[in-house]
Amino acid sequence: MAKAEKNETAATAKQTQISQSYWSLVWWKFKRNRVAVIGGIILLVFYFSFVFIPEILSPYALENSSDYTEAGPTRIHFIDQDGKFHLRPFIYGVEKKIDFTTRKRIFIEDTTKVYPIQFMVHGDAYKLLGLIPMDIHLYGVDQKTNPDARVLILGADALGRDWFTRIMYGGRLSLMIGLIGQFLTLFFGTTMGVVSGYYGGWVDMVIQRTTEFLGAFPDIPLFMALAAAIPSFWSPLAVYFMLTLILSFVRWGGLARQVRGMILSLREREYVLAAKSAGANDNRLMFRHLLPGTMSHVVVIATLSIPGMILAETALSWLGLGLRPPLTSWGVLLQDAATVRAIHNTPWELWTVPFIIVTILAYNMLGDGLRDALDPYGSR
Amino acid sequence: MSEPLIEVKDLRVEFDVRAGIVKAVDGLSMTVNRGKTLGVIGESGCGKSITARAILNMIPKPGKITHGEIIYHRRLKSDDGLTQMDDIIDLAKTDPDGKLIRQIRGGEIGMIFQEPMSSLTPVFTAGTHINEAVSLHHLIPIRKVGDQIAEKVMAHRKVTKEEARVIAIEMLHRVGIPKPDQRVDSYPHQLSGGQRQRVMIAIALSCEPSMLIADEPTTALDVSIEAQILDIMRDLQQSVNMAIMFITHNLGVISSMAEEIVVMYMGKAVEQGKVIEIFQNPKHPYTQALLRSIPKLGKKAAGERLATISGMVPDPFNLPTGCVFHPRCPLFMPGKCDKVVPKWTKVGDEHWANCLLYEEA
Amino acid sequence: MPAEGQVQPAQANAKNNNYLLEVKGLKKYFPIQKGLLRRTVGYVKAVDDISFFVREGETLGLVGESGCGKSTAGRTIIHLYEPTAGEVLFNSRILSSDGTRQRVNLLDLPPNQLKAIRREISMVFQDPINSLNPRMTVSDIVAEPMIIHGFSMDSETEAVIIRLLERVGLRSDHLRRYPHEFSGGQRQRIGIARALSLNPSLVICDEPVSALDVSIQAQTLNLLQDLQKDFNLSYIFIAHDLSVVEHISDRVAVMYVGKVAEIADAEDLYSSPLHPYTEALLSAVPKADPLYKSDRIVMQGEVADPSNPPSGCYFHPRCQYAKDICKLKTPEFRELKPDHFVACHRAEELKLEGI
Repeated sequence: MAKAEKNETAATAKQTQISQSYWSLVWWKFKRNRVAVIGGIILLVFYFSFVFIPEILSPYALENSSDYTEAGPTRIHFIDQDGKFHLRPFIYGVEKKIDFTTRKRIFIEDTTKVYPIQFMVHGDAYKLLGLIPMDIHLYGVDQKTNPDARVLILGADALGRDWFTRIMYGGRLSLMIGLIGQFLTLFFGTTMGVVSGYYGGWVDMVIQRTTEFLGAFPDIPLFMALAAAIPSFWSPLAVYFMLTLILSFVRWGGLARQVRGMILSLREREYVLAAKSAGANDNRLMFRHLLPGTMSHVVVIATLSIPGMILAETALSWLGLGLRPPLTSWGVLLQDAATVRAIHNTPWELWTVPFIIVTILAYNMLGDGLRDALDPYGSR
Repeated sequence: MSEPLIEVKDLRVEFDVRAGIVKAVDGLSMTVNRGKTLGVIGESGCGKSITARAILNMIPKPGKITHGEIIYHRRLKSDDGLTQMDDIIDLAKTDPDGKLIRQIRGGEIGMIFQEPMSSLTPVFTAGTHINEAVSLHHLIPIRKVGDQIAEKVMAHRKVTKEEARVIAIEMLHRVGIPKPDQRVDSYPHQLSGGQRQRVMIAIALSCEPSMLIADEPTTALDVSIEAQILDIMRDLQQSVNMAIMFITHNLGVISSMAEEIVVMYMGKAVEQGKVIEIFQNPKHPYTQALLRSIPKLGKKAAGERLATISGMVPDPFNLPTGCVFHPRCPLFMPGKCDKVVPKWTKVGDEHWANCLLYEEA
Repeated sequence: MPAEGQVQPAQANAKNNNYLLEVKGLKKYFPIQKGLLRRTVGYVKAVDDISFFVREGETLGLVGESGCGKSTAGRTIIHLYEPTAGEVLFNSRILSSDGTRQRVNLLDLPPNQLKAIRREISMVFQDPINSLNPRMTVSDIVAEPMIIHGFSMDSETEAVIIRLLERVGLRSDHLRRYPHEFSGGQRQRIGIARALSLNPSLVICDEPVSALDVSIQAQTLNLLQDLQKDFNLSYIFIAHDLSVVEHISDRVAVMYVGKVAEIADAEDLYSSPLHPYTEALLSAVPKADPLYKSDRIVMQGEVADPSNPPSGCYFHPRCQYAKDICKLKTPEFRELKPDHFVACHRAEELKLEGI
């Protein structure tokens, strides 16, 4: 008896590689998909920059309005009037004039005033992560020596606020809503899906009918109705949380249905029956055996749904039903940017759009890569 | 008198997968005689199914035939049955998508598979993800059974649609389906597993092929149904004088169907001979071990343990030197079996084995 | 006079208390629901009034074709399915108050006691791919029954698991591996190790070798036999391969469409069957012996449908010995010879042939 088994196991030792869990196999396959990795890196950079350190990256505080109302993007120069090349870029001071033919305010460079752009300058004070008082900004013109100068790489809005700064801060809220909202959806949707698929019967019926009921409403009007129901006297922060909740509330049904479908087939797998026959209780079966089996698919579905959430918030805020000033999100920025007047006077405000597009593209790239990496066993 | 119908000569089929090259069939030679049944037996991974597909030049990618010949002694009868034309074709060299092989497939050589609704197939453990299921000859779920038979008939014979339908009903009757004139309009899901397999046989036999390749046709069926299907196959073989290449891992089935048996291991034939010879006088150690490891019906010895084959099927990327069975062989001769590749040797009357034990110096 | 359809319980005798497991009149019906409101329009009578017993240390083979209910019976006994009716009496060590065995009816037990019983009855499954959770390591899989019953994952538990793995022919460095790294035969061994982790008295094996190659099948059967000797296990061995069942079983029960047709000693059943279905089944199995000759009995027609079985004796449409009474009355399940039970009206008069 022992000999046969020993021979068999000796052969095993020769032929296997390193033991690899499912997730490490997934990671290995994911890494080889360049597009997906790029998407992931973009998102990491965006989230880190916009959520954690917009205060550092942007030259001014969010509400720092100035006289540079509706100023176009500041031109950055390397070569001065004499033709000399400077390593450190600089900007010229500007003079405000009104052009009577176009009825626009124009800013003409005054080459006598030269302001070098410095890095890691002191500027408006802030608290990093809400805790650490700092005043370093990545770039800018030294406010102390030149209080009038402004470097506006994406121009300014009607109140003279730096648009690049606004995009940074706007990104913080937009990106966070998408992520937090999706986490909530994930949590709620998978739990409901597992419970619904595992128990079947009337529990399943109730949950299914509820999701169908919710799913029957068209998205935007439903959002609008719920968002409009948020009392206007609520603090902007409260509104923000409520909006996140609403977004995830409307979306959990789809995820729950998908999870339920997967659970219905996984439920009859023999390893589930084995655990059941050993005496496992419902919770253990649902959350230790069934749910992990759906996780790979759920992660993909969740990742590919985040763009939808970001767009939903953008749409709502654009329509004035979502976030409102003083909170800034990309949707709020679009509300400013998408008026006829703004397009005429301050078209650089539309620089918001590429940021949204890149975010969504990056999520799709990441999600597709995850979906491919999900099947590390090949034809399994 | 045996007349060869298909002669496989030193066939090699290789699969080029990411991890290397897998030699699914490695120098196989065997002969199917006209009107007789050849059984091909072996465990999972031995290459028996790939051999069947090679004969019809239907090997799934990334596999291809890299060596050898498959000689088909074709005999075409004219429509009035009076004249016949003999031809010799090397099937390995035909164009896999060409007109000739498509004419032969189904028209002259039929094939039936395991009932697809089965979960009892042994797992292919070499980790190379070779997909052994070929879709071409399975029943299509959305078309009527009668239509599928008729379509096959019309593809190979010059008949009208009405005539084809009549032939279809006749075929259903011959395979023992009750009320064939009604069943001809059923869909596959309305039939039981056994009935579906009968329909598959009907389709395969509808053009009166000279050979039928049956790849595990009864593995997924209940014993009582299996007995019925095997009976049908034997009857039809007699009435049409059809050769059968019967592939299975079930020694019981093969001993009741085959006149001659080829035993395969790791892509090679290790023994070939008449059925009685193989069962009573097996020469190759693998055949001996295989026969000893199955429990025999009606011969229960209390508390006895089954003889097992020691070791495991080798890693296809790391094949043993010399005789590929030597690490597991109870009659291993050190210095010989791990160095020399054995040759096909005659060990009895119409009985050959691939073992150094029988090679003369 | 027992009412029609009522099965006579197995003869009570002094040996009763030695039965590790006794199943009496067990039924499992699955409702067929149709329509929007999911009304029950009928039942699939997967297990329809079966009775048998298993002694300590013996193997009872449960054999039959598809739809006969053998898998359902196994799963109902271990309470994966809630039985529709009947009793499952088990001699439990754990639930006894004085250290000897205590007879309990599994269907009457409160949930916490039922959970305790699960330590004494375990199951080995058929499919080597799906019977192990692909996201868990071998160690987790084999230890799970212990974890469920309150053992913590400490060094002592790990030592138990390593001993188990070695006992089934695996190694301690397999502990941290995942199921996909093993062959089918090795995966079945992991499943067997898992079934033994709580030291059960009864193991229900549901087609444990059907998905394995012939040579691996032999290894696994040998392993099961060895383990049975070492741990004094009782097996209910469910399979459709008659030769495998004959080899490993002491006694064999033949099932057809939810009912037991015949139970006897393995040798007795195969050499002198008393039920026409058993005779036909034995005749239909292809024998691995080219010289075997006998008059083949060919069963006509398809296996009966458990949701719409024939009247009277379920086998009568396919039985060559059927008479009028077989269409009308369900036969009694009775002990015709010592320890040889059969459900057939004509069992006394028929002279049937075995192997």
